[in-house]
Amino acid sequence: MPVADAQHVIQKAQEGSHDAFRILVERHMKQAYNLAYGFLLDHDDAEDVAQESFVRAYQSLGSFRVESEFGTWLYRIVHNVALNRLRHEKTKSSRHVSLDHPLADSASGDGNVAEGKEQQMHVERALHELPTLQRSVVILRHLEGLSTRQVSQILGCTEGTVKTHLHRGLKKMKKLLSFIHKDMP
Amino acid sequence: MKAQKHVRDLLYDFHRGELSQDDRRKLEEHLAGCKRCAKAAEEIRVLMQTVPVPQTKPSDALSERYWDAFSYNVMNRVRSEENQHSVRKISFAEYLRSVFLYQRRSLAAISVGLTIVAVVVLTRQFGNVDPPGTDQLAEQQGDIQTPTVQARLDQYFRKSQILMVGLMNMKPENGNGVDLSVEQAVSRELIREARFLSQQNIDERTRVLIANLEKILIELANMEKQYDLPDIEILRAGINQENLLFKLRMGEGSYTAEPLTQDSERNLSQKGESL
Ligand SMILES: [Zn+2]
Repeated sequence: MPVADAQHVIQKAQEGSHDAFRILVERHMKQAYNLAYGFLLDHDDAEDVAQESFVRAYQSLGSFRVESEFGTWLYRIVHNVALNRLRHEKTKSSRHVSLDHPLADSASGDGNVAEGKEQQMHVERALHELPTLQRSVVILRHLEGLSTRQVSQILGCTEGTVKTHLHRGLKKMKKLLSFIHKDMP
Repeated sequence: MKAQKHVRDLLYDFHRGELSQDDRRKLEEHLAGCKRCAKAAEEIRVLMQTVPVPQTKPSDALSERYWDAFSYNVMNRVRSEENQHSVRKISFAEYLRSVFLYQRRSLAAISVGLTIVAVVVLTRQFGNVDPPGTDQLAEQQGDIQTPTVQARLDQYFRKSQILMVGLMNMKPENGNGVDLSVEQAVSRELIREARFLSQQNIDERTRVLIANLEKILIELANMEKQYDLPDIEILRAGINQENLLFKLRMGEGSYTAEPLTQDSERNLSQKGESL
């Protein structure tokens, strides 16, 4: 979307326009959900965290500076809300892969789909063995495909740190995945 | 060595296909001639193969209808948070207090046609919350100038209106009863003021409205300490039945009192004493 248009919408939202804010929600809801899902691996949790993040964003819109990128600012909120949720739901954080997600229902006799799903489940499992910062970087940069610059802004660290943690995180995941594969019959 | 570090920083982006054509070409040229960097590039390629970038997103599994509902639900949450927030921010009782009881100076800013001196008198009067029947009017007749009956009348209607609107909009807190102590204190003050005003030289229409308002105010002032919604509903029914809000709104500024004469002024202070 054109920058001027985005700024106009944000400005309207800051003035309290619900219509304008709804436009922002519609533009960013999928990525907000995907991000939350990356951390929580559960459809209901991801939905709730994404929605809550939008509500918080609305409430603190006043502190948002129009010249910065709304998406990055929003994902920073999603990231914080998701991590808080994980911290407060210790039982759930030990869960590896949820069956709640609609993807789980799509498993059919199709061998490729099943295999892909299994692979995805292993990746998710390995991901959640990572230290928090590495995991955040892998989710944001590698899985969600945000730019290094965006990730550094979301996490409040340098781009160099993002690169280092990405490399370390992926290396550790590779190691974990090879263990998982060895375990498989 | 520094150049090499710079090159290595590009390897991940290179494998994701995110480099500009120019950067990509330069990197490929470098990798062709530098074994160490080529090895690093291969390592990252393998890493990315082991942890593949997903081809689908979790959001892909959800229907468009789901996403329509999603934004709708977010906006509902925004609205309800906003409402809760504003109720929390200023409850009606706090608002009343700010208007009637505490912020005496701001009263001057919003009241129309009152001199500062008159405000001092009024806020003195409304600032003290005493049981009905306590007479303060007489003692105010001394060295402080009394506001005109018209000014007191306007003030009385304005405050009554605020009180009634608040009652109509009041919601129970957490499904429990509501605390009406501030409203009751205000209504006692208004009753006292109504008694004074109804004894003044005012037109019939104004007198009727004051009488109708008084019924509601007395009901409110006499309510038991345990308020619950049914009680408030009775009050609301009374307010509705008499179309009080409509009359207050329509009559803003049009209810009149005759100008005070020396006689009525004396009369006023006598009646004040006899309350
Ligand atoms: Zn090199």
